[in-house]
Amino acid sequence: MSEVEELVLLATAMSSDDAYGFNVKKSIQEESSRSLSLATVHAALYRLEKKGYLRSRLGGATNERGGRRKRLYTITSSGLQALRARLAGRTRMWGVVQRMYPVGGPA
Amino acid sequence: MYRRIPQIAFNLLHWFADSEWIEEIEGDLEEQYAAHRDRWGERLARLFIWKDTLLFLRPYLRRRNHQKERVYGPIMFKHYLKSASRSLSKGKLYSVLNIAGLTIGITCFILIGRYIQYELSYDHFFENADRIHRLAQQQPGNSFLGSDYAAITPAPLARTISDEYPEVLSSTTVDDATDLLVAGDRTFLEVGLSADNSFLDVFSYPIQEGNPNTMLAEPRSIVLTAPLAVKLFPNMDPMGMTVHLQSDDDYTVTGIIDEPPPQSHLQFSYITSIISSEDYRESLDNWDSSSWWTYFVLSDGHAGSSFQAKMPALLDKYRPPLEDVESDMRQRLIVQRLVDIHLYSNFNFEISANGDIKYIYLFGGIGIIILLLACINYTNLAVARSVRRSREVGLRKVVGARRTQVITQFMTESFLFAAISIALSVVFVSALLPVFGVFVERDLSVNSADVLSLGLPLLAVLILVGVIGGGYPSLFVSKLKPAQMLKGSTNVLFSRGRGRRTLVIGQIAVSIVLVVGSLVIFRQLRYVQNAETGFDREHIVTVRMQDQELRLSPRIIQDELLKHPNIIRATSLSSLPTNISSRTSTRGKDLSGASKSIRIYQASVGYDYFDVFDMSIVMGSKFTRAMRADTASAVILNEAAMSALGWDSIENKYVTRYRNPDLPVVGVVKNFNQHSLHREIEPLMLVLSEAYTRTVSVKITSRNIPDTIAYIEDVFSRFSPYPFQYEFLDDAYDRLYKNEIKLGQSVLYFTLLALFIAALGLFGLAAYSAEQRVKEIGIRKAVGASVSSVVLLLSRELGRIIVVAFIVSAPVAYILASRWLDDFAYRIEIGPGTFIVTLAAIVTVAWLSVSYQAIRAARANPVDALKHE
Repeated sequence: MSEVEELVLLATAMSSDDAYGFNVKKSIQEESSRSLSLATVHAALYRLEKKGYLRSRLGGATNERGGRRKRLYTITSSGLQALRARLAGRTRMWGVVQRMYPVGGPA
Repeated sequence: MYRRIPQIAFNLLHWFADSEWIEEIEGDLEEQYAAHRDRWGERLARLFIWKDTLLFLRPYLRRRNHQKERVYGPIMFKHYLKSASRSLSKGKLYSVLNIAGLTIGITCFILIGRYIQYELSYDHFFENADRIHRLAQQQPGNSFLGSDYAAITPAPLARTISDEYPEVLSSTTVDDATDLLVAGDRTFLEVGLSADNSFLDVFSYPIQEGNPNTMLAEPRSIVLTAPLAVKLFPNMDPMGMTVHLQSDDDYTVTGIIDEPPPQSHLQFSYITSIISSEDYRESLDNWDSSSWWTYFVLSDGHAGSSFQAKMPALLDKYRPPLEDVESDMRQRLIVQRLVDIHLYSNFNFEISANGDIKYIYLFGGIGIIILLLACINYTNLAVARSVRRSREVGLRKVVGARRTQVITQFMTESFLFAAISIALSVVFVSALLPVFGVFVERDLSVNSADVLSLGLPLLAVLILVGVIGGGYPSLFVSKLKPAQMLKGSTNVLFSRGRGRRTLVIGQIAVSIVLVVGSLVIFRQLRYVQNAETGFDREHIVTVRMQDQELRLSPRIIQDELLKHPNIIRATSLSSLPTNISSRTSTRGKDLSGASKSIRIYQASVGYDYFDVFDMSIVMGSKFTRAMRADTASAVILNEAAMSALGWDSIENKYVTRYRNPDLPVVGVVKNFNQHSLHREIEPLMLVLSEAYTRTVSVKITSRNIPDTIAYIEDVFSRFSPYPFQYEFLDDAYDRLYKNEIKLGQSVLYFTLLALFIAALGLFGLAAYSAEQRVKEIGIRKAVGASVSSVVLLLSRELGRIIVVAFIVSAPVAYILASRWLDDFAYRIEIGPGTFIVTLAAIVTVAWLSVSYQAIRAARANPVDALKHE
């Protein structure tokens, strides 16, 4: 799982009831101030679905989209598991770093 | 307002991505666009959305169905073939019309293609064909028969370029010759060449016997082509044998070479060593007289054009121009590629009559147009017929056929039609090729090796016809929505008939141009044939005197000829009045000593010249027996010469040529066309001098012509060993217009074919349109329409089409025909009559092809049409 995929997967899991291309892109931009192109997000979603981390269905046409339906993604259990494993590793590493440089200590 | 996203961007996406993805991506892009617009404004948003769209062009979005189609491919193809052959046998009339039209078109195309291929192949057979060149020249101002270009050059030129320029690998001087070859008791009149010893270095004719390095080195050497060697010396070894040339001397055979192939501008059956010619030996240092052809080979990497640039310096060195000659009036040497000579060179004094690239373009154009007409027919009929098949297509679509599959199906069908037509065409072509070959005077027969090389062009024709013919109908039909088609709302199809109508208009427009073209050509030819040229062309027989002794005393044979009661008059002459090709400078003088020099055509004639050709003398008298004829003694000028010299009487007038004695002007002949009607009448002088005459012309009566000819032959064979050849003056006259007559015939044939194809197409269209409107007609009749009003209704559309086609094509036809006529100094004018006749012909053909269907539809019982409703 690449870093972009990880971000996309996180963002999808975050807004579980309305996760689709443009929305995912928007929340990544808001939360991490990383600007990904729609196409990049779309490709990542496609790859994640192929890996079995996401599930999708078509639905929710709105006026802003010119009446076109969205592809709505929800995270699968294996997606959650992969995310957990990934973040667990990071959190452990971050714990070590935090202990070496406590807040207010020498930096 | 949403839809401000550039539509092209979406189109790109549609084309690129599988439809599965389109909706969600477009939606996202739409939202993205709105977000961009709120932040950056309309213009930048448009720009950004382009970037966002382009980034989507990633492989995973490509269509996914390739694999599926590959699996079903062969099965579907079999199915397409099957449904194609079904529809072929279902609509018999339609199939026959289609195949007939296509077959005619393809047959024409192949025949013309073969002719063009033949013409383009001239002189390519030499190993180094692309490096062989010829030198020709232009002498500005020294115009002869309307052109100042000449293919002949001075004798020392070949040797000089070899000496001066290292890139000239070899060069040769060539002269032509026709002679009676005698070996023992065998005699043959043969066309040959005379050439120097480098000839076989330049031209790589395969040598059967003899040493190529010395064959033509010695005087009195002759090289024979293999067929002539067999004719002259059957069952003997010809090498070292003696051949007697009737007008020359005994020659020794020093070599045997292959016969030149027919696709060569150099045609000969023997070559003599040019060093045998006294004329040549004396001219070896003479740069002022041109009568030889100069061929040479350039080494690799040297282009003829850059060699051409060196020629002015060469001329300056060997033939410096007179001080006062303007630079653009100086003699120029012109380098020609050997392979271009046949089609591009039409200078004076060519070694043989060449082809003309104009005709290649013309025939090529006609071939393509006829093929296109046939394709248009196919297209039109197929579209019209698709009305009937709309249900079939609709059903196919409903059960899941993709658009590409419908297109493939219709293309398969058109390829099937094309393939059948090509197969039929090949049969026709093989039958017609010999006939067509006679017509274009070329041996177009194909040997087994060429048959393979024809396969590829045929494949090209198949693809061309298949795609052009099938493309439009398949795109058209496949586009329609299944619901419309199944509902049977066929008027949807017909309201979109504009494309088809345009095609029909194009077809008729082309036919109109062709009809006008043939009419104009034929009217001009009739004008030419009936033209008053100023001399009598009927019942005049001309025989060449090839025997030298005969030429010295032409009176003897004339007296002998006149003993026959049906031979009324006889004269000898240097060239026929139909084409006087000798030109010179002459100076006119009167007693006061005033003089003026003009360029003038000339012919040497005997006493009774004016009586034989029945020319009228407008001033002075004819030649009389009191004047001497064994040497030039008197002249008669034509009116054009009189006005060129500024004379209005012949009293005390003399003309002189170079250093010859003054000749008294004894009369003025009424202007006559001494060349073809392409050219104006120019100054001419007829000199009484039998010594230079080459032919004998006799006026005969119309009684028992074969007997008279036999008598003439008998007399000649007593005086000359040469085979007897004669020609009627009207044939000689027609020969001047040989190209035009050929052109007229071919345009006529093509016109008939084009009309026939157009008629086939109209017939088919009428059939479908009548069928289409069967209910409408039924209702009209039921409420009281008469048969004639219904026929009128059905023909009205056609009338409109013809009018539009006529408006479009008449100016084009007028311009083309005028340009062709501009070649003639004496020509007809294209009046409205031509166009009226054309229109009448087109309307007749169109009406004949449509009327049967229209009348049948109009006369049908309306009950039949309406009872199913």
